Amino acid sequence: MSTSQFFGLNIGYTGLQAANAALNVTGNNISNVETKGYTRQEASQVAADALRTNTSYGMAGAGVDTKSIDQIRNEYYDLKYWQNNASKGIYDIKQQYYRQIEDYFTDTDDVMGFNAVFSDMFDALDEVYKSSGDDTKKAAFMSQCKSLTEYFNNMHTSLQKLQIDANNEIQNKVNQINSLASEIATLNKQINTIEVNKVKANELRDKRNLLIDELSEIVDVKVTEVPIYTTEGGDEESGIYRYIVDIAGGQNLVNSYEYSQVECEARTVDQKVNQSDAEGLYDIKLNGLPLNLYGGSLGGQLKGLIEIRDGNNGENFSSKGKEKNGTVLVNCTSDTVKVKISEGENPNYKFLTDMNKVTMNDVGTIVVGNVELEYKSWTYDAEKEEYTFDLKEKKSDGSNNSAAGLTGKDCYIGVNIDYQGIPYYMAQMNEWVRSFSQAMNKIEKTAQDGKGEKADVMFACTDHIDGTEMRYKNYDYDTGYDKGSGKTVSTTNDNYLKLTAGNFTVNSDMMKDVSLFGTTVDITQGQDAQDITLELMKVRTDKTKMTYRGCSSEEFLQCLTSDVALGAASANTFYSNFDKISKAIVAQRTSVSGVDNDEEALNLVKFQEAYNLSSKMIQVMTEIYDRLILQTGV
Amino acid sequence: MMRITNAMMTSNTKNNININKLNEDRLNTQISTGQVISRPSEDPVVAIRALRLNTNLSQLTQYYKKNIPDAQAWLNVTETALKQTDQIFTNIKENLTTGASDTNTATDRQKILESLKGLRAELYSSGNADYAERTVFTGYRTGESLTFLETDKDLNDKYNICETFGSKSIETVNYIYGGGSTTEQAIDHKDIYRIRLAYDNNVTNPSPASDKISLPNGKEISVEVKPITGEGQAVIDNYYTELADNSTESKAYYIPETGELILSKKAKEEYENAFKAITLDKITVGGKVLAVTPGSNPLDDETTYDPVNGKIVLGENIYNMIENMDPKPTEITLPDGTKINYTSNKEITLATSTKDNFKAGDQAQFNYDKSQWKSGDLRPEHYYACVQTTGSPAEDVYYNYSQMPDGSVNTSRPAFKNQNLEVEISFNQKITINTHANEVYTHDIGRDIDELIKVTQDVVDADENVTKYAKELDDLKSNGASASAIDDKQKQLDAAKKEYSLKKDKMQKMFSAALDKFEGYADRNNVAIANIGSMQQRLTITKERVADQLQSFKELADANINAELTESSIDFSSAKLALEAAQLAAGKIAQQTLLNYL
Repeated sequence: MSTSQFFGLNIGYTGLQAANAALNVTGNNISNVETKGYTRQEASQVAADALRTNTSYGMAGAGVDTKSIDQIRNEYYDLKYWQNNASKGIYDIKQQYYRQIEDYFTDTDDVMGFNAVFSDMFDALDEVYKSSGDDTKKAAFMSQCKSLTEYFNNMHTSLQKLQIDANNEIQNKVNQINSLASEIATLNKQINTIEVNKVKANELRDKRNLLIDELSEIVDVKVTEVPIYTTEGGDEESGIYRYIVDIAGGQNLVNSYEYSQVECEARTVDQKVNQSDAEGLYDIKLNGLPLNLYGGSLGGQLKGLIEIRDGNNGENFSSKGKEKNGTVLVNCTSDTVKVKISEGENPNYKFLTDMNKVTMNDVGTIVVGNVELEYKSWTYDAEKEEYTFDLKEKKSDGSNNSAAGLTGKDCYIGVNIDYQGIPYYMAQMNEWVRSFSQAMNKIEKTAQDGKGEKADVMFACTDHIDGTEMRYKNYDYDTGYDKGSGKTVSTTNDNYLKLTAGNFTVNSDMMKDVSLFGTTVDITQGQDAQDITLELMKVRTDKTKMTYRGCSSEEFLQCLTSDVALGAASANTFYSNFDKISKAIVAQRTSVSGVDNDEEALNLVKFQEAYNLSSKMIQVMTEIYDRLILQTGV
Repeated sequence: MMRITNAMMTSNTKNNININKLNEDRLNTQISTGQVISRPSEDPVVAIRALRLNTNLSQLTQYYKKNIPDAQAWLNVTETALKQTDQIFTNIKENLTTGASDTNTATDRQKILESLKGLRAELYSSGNADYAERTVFTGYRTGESLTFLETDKDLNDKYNICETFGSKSIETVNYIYGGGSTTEQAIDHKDIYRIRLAYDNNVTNPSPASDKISLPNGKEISVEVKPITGEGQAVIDNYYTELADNSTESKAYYIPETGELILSKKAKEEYENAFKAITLDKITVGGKVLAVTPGSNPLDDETTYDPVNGKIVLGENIYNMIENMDPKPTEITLPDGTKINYTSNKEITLATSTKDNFKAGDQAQFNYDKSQWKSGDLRPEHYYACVQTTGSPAEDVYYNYSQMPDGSVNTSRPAFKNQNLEVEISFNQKITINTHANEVYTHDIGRDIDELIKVTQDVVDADENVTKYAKELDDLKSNGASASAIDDKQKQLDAAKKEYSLKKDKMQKMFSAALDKFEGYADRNNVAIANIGSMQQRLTITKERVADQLQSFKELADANINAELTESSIDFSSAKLALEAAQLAAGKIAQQTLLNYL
């Protein structure tokens, strides 16, 4: 048996069809040359199954078969791209926010920053020193003091606004994650609906990849595609896949057609972590459970935002429940939690035993052995180096608030985030204003005012709830708050613990009546006695009067500028590095998947030629039939 | 070989153009702002250095523009005042030279008297000089004038003054008694021992506790108050002369109206001996030298010595420090080398024999009340520890007393010290700009002139008496009065002549002695002027140095942050060139595709 006379026509037809398909794919590639996320496609052609002819020449080729239209894609580069995006996202955010922090701490000829304000204040004090009896000089000095406190108030407000910005952006990002998750789940379904017919849903896959690209900037992603077999445990693929998206270090977001919602939950006042935190910062939950925001595996812009918003340089309140030798450090009763700060084992020992450095709010939430407990005040005993947290009777939501039975469990307030974010700068400012107020007040309180009365404090703070000034009493603990001083200090009775950059202010009575500002220990010596003024002037450079990070008070901005500048510089450098890597990966990816004009132009010519040839084949066959039917043997 | 698509080429080109643009922008910012960095993160080291340099600059500017000019102005005011004072001294000395002469007529003396009275009124007024309404000679009390400006008629200002004296405060003066007597024999003169207080016209009722002179060795000379108002001449003469003749008792009289303490010879010796002992102003314990202050009730960081009971008392902290010494000391060494046992006792009482070797200071002390201030009187708070009494003890103002640790006044511890007004004129360099009143305007000057006026007045009066009695005698003689009447008048005239001659003699001696004293006062004044001159010189030098520093810090600050314009411009040109080249290439790439050739 030989092949049918019409076989050739059929072969020509398959060629025509294949060329047509290839031309269409080329056309599609060309028209999508600028489409974002488009992966170039290729019609894959195979020779059609040959016919057994039972002739001496064997099998007869049956033309061409267009098997499928495939994407030219290397998934390795997707993975790389997503991973890199997570890192790039972190520094993208940090770069943006640090730029603003940098602006706030500026001090140049044009912008009056800390140094300018501080110098002016001490120049004014120098004028007082030269003629202490002159009330106009005192008035000038007091108003410079006010400028200093306003500088810190403004800095505090600005940084807090920045924190709120970061917080709002977190909410935006969370909303984006949610909308992406729902789109991805929808696409999963559409893709499977198509691919169950063993056809590739190229365009939808591109769309899904693009969504993952977007997601990977916000948060780190891990994508797994698991083939689904037609039978349980069988090995025949059904052609469809289970598409799983995990975020934030393996926490599931999308599982095939199902997806989870990430939620933002505003903290109440009782849940405030740092003293200077803005109100209503969000905690993030996934499916109602807290999303682990602080693990090392989190990435993307979300991580950048969290680190900016919550970064405390690792200086949060925390303690092990017991020492290695078994000594109990955390002692609980139903209404108190006592935490002893162990010099040997607590890495934050220095920070937690210095009342100027502590950052806990006066009311808040302490976590003991994973149980959240709300406290209403705390006391620190310098002799024993022990904190006592007084718990509320009930939590603000009415639930049980007892610490009974939690003795020996680890505890913490807020989370240790080893990054210099906004809370870190707030804490730095708070430490400085507290140390400075103490140094100045301590000296001023030994003075007599113009009327021979004992002078009051110079620097005070306003109540953070009702805004009233808390200046007349209870500025007690001093800078040398050492172990063995036998003192205790409590948020309920010491205003220094409440003094922050935000509520730092000048004694308003002294502002109104500058003669209340004492310049000497004994006014009967005469109005121009310089003793107290001299001591006050020493606070500027004398480290025995005040130290801040081992420097003198005037070097505050130098210290912070180095933090800010290095923080900004590192964010910039890392961003530009990851951006370069990202560009390289994109280049690799485009190298594989991108549409090239010249290539497609060539393809166009190539497939047109093929089409023309196939059409010639048909023409030839037509001529053959003409010959055979009309002219042969007629 | 890597596959390159058109999109890759355009995107690469875009990136490259962007990099070039960033570069151009950075250099452009450098040129337009003139600064190498515009954000600290661009170069943290430069940024931090800039902050430090600016802090220095601002301090130097304060020194240069404000502190040094202020100090200079203050010194100029002081100098002007002192030069006026010098002129007064010169005028006084001229009068003294004239007054010491033997050939003066009554008119001459009258002239000297008027002239001295005028100069006396002027004497302290230049001490009230002020700079920007701040009195320059009154230490920290710049709001107060040096002297009372008005006579206090209503007796509002009542002071109890604690005056202190040194070993040489007792002077020997010539007292002429029996003045106005009708017999020559009744008039004569005597040397008496006197301490002159800073003020006269004092209130006659000193506080009961003050009727003694406290001596540095803990002993006392009891003082009797002898007011002279309303007393006859004989009684007054007696107050003065009685003690001069008393060789057995140690006694002293206080005459409030003249502001004098009169001492017996024995009292004088006792006084002078009290200064000869060694001052117990330090002790040595375990190799450590501790300062000792006079008193009996030490503050925590003090050690006191009470010479009355010979008791050393260690303050709480001092005691603890000694107790904690390793090894614990067993003896205390006194300034003369005597060693006494230490037995962990805060109070150490010296044996009487040891005690007599020591005194607690270099000052004797006498308290007295004073009111009735006249315009031109020096305010006592600028010189002495004193209490301004108000009638209710709680409101009394204590001047120049030390303070207790809680800030209240330690009424048992007078502590007058000079108050130095300092100005910082350069980094860690302060100068004291004020001249203290007690360096120039001392009470002695005024009291010396007062005495000169008085002694001159006495001579003028005595001279008038002589003239008057001579005339009366002539009248009696020409009227043919009785011989006894003439004889009586003759005696009175002889007595008056003796009194005149004694007083004139005293006056001449006092004038020539005063000449020396006023040379001394003028010298001290000139020393003060010289000190100001040298301070002005220092200021000028410092000002130049600060100006240099200011300049070099400016240069450093500029060098630190200012962009090198030539360099930036060249870089900018090449960045611009690179950008243009990139743009050109991009244009070419984007234009051509394969289709152009198919």
